[in-house]
Amino acid sequence: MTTAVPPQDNAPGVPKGRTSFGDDITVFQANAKPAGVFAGLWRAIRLIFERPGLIYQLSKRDLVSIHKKTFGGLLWLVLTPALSISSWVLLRSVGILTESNSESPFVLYILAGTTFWTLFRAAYNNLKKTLLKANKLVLQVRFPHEALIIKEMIVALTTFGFSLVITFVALFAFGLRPRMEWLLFLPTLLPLFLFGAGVGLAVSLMNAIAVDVERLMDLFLGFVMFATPIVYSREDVVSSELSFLVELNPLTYLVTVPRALLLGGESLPWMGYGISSGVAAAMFLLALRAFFAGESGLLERIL
Amino acid sequence: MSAAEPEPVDPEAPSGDATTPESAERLRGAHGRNANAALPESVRDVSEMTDEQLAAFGEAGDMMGHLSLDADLTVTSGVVDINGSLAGSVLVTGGKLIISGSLIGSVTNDGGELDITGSVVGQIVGEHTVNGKAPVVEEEAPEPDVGQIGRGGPSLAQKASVQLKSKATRSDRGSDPIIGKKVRLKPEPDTVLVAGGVSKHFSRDLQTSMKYGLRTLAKSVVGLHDPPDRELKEDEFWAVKDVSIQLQRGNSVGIMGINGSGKTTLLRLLAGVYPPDQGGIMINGTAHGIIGIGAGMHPHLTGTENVFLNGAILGLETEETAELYDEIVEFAELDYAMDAPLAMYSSGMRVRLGFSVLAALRPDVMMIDEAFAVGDLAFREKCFGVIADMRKTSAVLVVSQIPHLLQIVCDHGAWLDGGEIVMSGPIGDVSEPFLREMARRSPAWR
Repeated sequence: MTTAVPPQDNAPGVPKGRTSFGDDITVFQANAKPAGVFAGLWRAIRLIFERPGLIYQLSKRDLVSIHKKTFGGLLWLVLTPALSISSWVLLRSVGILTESNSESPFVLYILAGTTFWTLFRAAYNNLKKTLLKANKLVLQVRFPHEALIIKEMIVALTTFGFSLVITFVALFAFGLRPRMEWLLFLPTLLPLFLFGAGVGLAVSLMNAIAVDVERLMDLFLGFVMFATPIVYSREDVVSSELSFLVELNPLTYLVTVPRALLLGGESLPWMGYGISSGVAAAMFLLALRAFFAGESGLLERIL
Repeated sequence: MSAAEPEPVDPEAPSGDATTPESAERLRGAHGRNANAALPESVRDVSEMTDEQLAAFGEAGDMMGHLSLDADLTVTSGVVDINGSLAGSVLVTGGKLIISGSLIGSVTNDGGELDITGSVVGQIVGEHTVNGKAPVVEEEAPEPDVGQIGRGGPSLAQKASVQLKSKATRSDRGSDPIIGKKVRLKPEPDTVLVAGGVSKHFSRDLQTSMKYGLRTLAKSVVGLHDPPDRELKEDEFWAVKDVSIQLQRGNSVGIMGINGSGKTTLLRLLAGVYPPDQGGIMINGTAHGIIGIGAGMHPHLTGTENVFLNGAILGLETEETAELYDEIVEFAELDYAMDAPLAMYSSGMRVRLGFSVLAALRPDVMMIDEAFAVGDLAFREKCFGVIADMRKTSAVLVVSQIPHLLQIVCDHGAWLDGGEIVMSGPIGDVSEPFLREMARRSPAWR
């Protein structure tokens, strides 16, 4: 225990708003200046290494507890995506879905598209509850709230991971075989994930004040899904208005490129993908900035 | 059985009956909340108890449950051994009193012998021995500065307050209006917590709270803040106003106040849960608090899983929690329930688990928010013991609206009303006027 510590400004690992003068001394000030986005991001990355137990326990709590009161238990992690994929296969088998212009087998095309959409929605759905879900905890004890963001991202990735495995099983069952492009496939999913996380984190801050934005965003994303080539290909769109929206939609490219790398047969719109990735990264960083700047002032409004 | 109609002790009952569940229940009834009401007036003097009563009192131990006396118990002759636990105060005027169990309350020796081999959570007045030997005199804990320190004596809190204000003045001259990052606090040895002029405001109305929240968020995102001396807006009120506290190791402070007086908000501010709207707080070391029960614990997870979860939230890594696990479970006395989900626990059991994790951490500042209210008497007694022990190395801050509870664990008190500290000083000096004021305000307190 340090009893008389010489002042040190901006001690590592301590938010600027909570100025530290040594390892053991923390100061909370009114209207303290929050961490900048890169300082906050760096702090969050450091937290993974400094408090792995916290990240692990919080993630485990969310992943395990939701399946505790079920007979299926953790099997639901597999069952949920399996049932979701089955529904598409069923729709296809009864002839509800028509063939698209895509060169890939249509079932594979839909399976891949919906799985990637799952990644976006999982990131959004988890991150949008970052503060609201932890409302009791954040009012009970002081701990680094960046852990909540990391935890929600881990939970979203884990959920998606199980979906991806099931999807691959289905894809193999339908005759898909490994390709060289698969080496690029996973990294190209990162912007899609960050986009969902960024939108979710921004909504999370608004959720602490009022849930209107979440409701609107949920409705909006329902529409966005149909403006994203998931159950149809870009070439299928005949309406010029819809075509405009599809081309304008960043998710179009963030879904199309990894799917084309996975399945082949589609053109790779790298330009659109690059711009969309920039939009996704900017969205994520802006949301992080808003979180670091505004989160502490919203705690008393989380009801 | 009601306290008004207590079941009398059967003086003819053989003392051996105390070992049967039926007799234990009978004894609990006799020595329940209002034990003296169950006994003849003359039996308030222990030396006049019948053998059976003494046997029940002195020997039944766990079977006795826990005695809680409204009036003083007097030992005038003979040898009396409290080997169970007793809540109340005891006066020894003759004979010998041995406390081999535990006493929650004060004990005064005025002419007899007093030997303490167990624990006493309260004042010990007069000559006494510990395990038959003269007690080691401990250095008196330094007086805490509580309350209007920012406006009063030359304390670190005042220095912090002055420095913070000087920063604000500098900003007023046109530089940064936000209180600067480089506050030069110079922690003194053993000072573990300093709060200088801390204030927090809330909105009364949900709609205005949402409106102000939106503005706050928008301002924060673009790097703007309200000036530190801003006036309250419409529908806002000060939940905590200009509170300054300085705590050193060994201090134990009880903050009392009615519902809505700002106790929990103050605790959240001091624990770093809320950022203050005015003033500053310095924590030298670790500060943890029981604000509510079991931070982050999940009802569907088992006791064991929740211990690791709670430990992680409070700053422990998995291996550290594993090392403390046996100690935590032993203290909580919940080894039989650790594999059961928390949802199956009673509220008291949850408190025990939550407090046990916290007790194992031994933070430099321990803050407790009326969490004891749901623990049973036996566990409360253990908690008091831990707090008494913790006061040797840490500072303890307890908030409650029950001054009697605070008097057991705290030396000093502060009365919070409307978010402001209206009185501070030795716990007894604060409790009495607080109770008088409560009695004046509400017949229920009389």
